[in-house]
Amino acid sequence: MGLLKLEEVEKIYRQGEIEVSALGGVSLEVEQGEFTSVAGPSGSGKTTLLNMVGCLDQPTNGEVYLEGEGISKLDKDQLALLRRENLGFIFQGYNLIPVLTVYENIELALKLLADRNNKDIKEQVMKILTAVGLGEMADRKPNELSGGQKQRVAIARALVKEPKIVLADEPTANLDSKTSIDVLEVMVEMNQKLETTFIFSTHDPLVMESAKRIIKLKDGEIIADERS
Amino acid sequence: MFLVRLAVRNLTRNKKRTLIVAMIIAFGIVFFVMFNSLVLGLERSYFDNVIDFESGHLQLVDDDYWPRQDELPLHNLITLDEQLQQNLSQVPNLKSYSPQIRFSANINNGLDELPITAVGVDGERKKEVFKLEEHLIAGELFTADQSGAVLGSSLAELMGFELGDYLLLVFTTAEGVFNTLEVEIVGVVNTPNPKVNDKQVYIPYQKASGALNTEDKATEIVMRLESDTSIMEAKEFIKNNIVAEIDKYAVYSWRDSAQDVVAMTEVQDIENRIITSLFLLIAAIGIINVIILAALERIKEIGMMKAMGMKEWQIIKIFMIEGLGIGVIGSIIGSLMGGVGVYWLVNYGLDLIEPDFGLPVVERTYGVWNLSAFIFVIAFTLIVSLVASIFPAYWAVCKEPVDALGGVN
Amino acid sequence: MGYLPVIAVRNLSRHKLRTLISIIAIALVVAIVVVARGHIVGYLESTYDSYINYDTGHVKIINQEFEGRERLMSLNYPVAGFAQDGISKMKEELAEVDEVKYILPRIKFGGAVSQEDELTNVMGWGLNIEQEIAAIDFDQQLKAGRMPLADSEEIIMGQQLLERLELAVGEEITILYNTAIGSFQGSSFEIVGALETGLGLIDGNVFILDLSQAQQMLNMSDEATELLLIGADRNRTDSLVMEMDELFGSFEAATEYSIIPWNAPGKIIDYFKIGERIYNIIYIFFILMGSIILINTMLMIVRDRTREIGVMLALGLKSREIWRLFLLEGIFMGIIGSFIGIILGGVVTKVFSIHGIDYGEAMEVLSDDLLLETVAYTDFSLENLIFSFLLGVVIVTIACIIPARRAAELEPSEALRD
Ligand SMILES: Nc1ncnc2c1ncn2[C@@H]1O[C@H](COP(=O)(O)OP(=O)(O)OP(=O)(O)O)[C@@H](O)[C@H]1O
Ligand SMILES: [Mg+2]
Repeated sequence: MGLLKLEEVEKIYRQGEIEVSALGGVSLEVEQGEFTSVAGPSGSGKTTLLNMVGCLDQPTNGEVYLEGEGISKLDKDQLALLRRENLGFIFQGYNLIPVLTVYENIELALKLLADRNNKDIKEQVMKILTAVGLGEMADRKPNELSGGQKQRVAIARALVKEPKIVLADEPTANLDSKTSIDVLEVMVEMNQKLETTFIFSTHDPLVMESAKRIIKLKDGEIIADERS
Repeated sequence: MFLVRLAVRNLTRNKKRTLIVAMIIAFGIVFFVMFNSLVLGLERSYFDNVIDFESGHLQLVDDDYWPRQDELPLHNLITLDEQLQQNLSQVPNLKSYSPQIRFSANINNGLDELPITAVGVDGERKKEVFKLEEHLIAGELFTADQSGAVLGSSLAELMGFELGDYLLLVFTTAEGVFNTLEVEIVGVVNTPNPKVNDKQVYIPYQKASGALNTEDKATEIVMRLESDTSIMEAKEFIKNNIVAEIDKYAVYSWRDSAQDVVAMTEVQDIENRIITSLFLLIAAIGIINVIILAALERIKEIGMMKAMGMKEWQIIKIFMIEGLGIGVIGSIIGSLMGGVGVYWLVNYGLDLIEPDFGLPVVERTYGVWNLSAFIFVIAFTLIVSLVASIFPAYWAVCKEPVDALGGVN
Repeated sequence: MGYLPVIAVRNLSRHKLRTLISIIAIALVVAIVVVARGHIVGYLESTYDSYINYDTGHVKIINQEFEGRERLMSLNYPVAGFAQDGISKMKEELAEVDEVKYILPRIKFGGAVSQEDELTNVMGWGLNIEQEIAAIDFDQQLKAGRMPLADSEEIIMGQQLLERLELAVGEEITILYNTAIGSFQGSSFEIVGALETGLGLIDGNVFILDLSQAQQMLNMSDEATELLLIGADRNRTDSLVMEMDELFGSFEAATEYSIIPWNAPGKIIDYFKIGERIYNIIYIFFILMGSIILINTMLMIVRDRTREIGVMLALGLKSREIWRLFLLEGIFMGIIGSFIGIILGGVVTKVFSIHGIDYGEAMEVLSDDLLLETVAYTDFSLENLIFSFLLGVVIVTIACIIPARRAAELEPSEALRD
């Protein structure tokens, strides 16, 4: 049994009379420790797919299995619990909570989990911050950081609770190519060190190439699934 | 007007927000016009009570009597002689006049005694000056040559009097000698004026005069005019023709007799204004808030407008028109709702004073239409909304887009 | 769950002006409530006190036939003991009752003062001076002179009445009256004090003498026209009435007395109570209007922070927690605003509690018949401040449910879309 399995997942958005099919029957399996990119042109359904995997949205038809468990039977709160325990997220921009410091942003992810004492939390946060190379910046507010630094904090926050899967929707879209590579390197490094499963979407060929597995989407369908 | 159109569009962008603040304004207006209508209604019934049962439209009295009249003294009286009668008959618009003599007496039913005000009146004339006859609930008013007493219904009840009973009045004469008068009750009145109901006894003028030894003199001569619009004219005439001849006489209008009631309604009016101002103060903050929120939302848009070459005052103007627009919407809603409210007050009234609290009315209170209240409050509202929007509009144009985004990473 | 308040507090300072205006709005409406309520409570309290002290007590016992005819000030319907055996005995029985603290027998009668050719009607109150002082601090109302001594021919008079009669403390006066057996008499008294209660009805009409003196001259030995009972607290009147009903029920002849509580239905105080309740609704209405402004701001805040809410949802916060986060932010504004409001309102009420608002002439129409003071002193009390503060916070909290729910209802995928 794989870590993640999608079975004929369909997503249809309704806008009044018009129905938009964002995903049209996608089936897919992802194993523990995989480093996967989802690629495709704008509007091809990348974000929609990641939302399904990330339990941020429910499929219209089909089922998403996390460790063999279907998610469609879960309610809003159960999904929230699932996310806080098993999933980490990195977004394009607006990743961090602006009123919390770097440290607090990461700490929040841990505090949401039950029974951890403060000492453990502090140790873990500092460890992960050092790992992403931001040990010095713990007390800064997000708006005092550069775009690349922010994304590294986001990576740290996603990873600190050692989730099963980290999902990243175009994590490098707002960054220049040099910084993009840096951020990506951090992700690759974490993938290797912690064996965390990564799934990220991108339309940047350079970024795409660094993944071991590339899933290509077009009009809501998988047109290619390559492992290198 | 391009700016107006833009402002109107902007207002409809967030309809709920606009409407909510407009509702605050509307409540203020509704409150004001309804309260105003009710105060005027109360005032009118107070005044009617004073005119119809206490003072008539005008009173001719001795100048020294007037300030002490509450004590009901029996000196400084007024004589209704031939000359005076002649003069009075020339007063313009005069419907009727009647001398009366008020004096303090104790009413006695053989068991208990109660201080009351006794009024000696000319029965025939009284009918024309005061509205006693319409409010008779038993018996009739006495005529000039009759003997008899008419008293208020609650007084009769309190003393256990019925029609045909004899009541005893105990009083002192003008010389300070005790005297009594036994009179048969010929009528009972129940008027909207609680003073009359509670503590007034009417007896024939001649009889009172004789018992008091006042030689036909009156404490005052009450006059009723054809309409209350001619009061000033009649008062002037009396001043110039009667008071001018007999220096110690003076003429007062009902408004002078109702000083305390006038003061009371003035206080109510001030209360109304204060409360309404508070409503509008809250509304003003609401408008300031809406403009600031709108400006924050549109900070980039404002920057763009500036870049396109729109002048600052034009942008300020847009926001001010928006503020005014909220005021206009609030005024329209408020006037409509207030109109319905006042209509209801005018036609159905309000049972304000259930028990007898000593207020000078006992009836249901009806509202009064007063267009000027509407105009006043709407004008006030519009000024407030305009003023309230100046400051935030000015703030908005001075704000650079970067500042406005502060706090967001 | 310590992080929600932290985030909520820090969020407050993100758009200071926006927050400030909401806080001002709340502060203003709460201040209005403090002042309005202080004014009304102050006036009602002093009116209740006036009535309790001078008219109704906590419970008034009168002859049943006298009920509704008190205006007559008749001496023909006295309170004369359970078995017509005098009020001294009755007082002993009443003193046994737990709830009764003070028993105040009073005789109210009509009289007149004759000066030259003028007769002025006055009202005489025969009081047990010592007990009146203990129960209602009656000596506090003395403007000049001293209280009359027991069994003496001394009286005190309302200040306005003194002025009307052109008399002064220290002078002699003759008062005419009818005794209980209907004989017309006159007595001379020395005026030893002037009374100023602020109540036109008393200050302008009443003279006060010792009860036993009144009993003696009115032929009412061991009788009174009314018996006032004062308990420990006016709010316990119900139990006082119950005990009275029990006590009076145990005497056969006692059915001829009426037991009337100060807040009896149909009496003026009852209408004041209804008024008080109506005002409470008006206060809530005012605070709601202030809350509307806050709701507007909060709705915009929710819209501004949609993305952020999405991030929090992705982090695994439950809708309930998002809801709580925004509610907290609103509550904080409510608390700060209400606090500023009670300080502002407190200052104003303090000023008016010292200086008072003089209604002067406007009150005269009413003060002839009612025990109403012409100067209204605002009630400055901690109770009022706390009440207004809590009312502000509670209503703001309820109002904030609307925007907070809007935030909590956001779907994660919706919130994250740019
Ligand atoms: N909430 C929505 N309502 C209606 N249509 C939607 C909604 N979300 C997405 N869509 C549609 O679904 C399709 C897939 O959108 P999605 O956001 O997944 O694309 P994407 O691959 O992430 O594109 P991009 O690279 O631009 O981010 C698009 O055609 C989009 O218009
Ligand atoms: Mg996308």
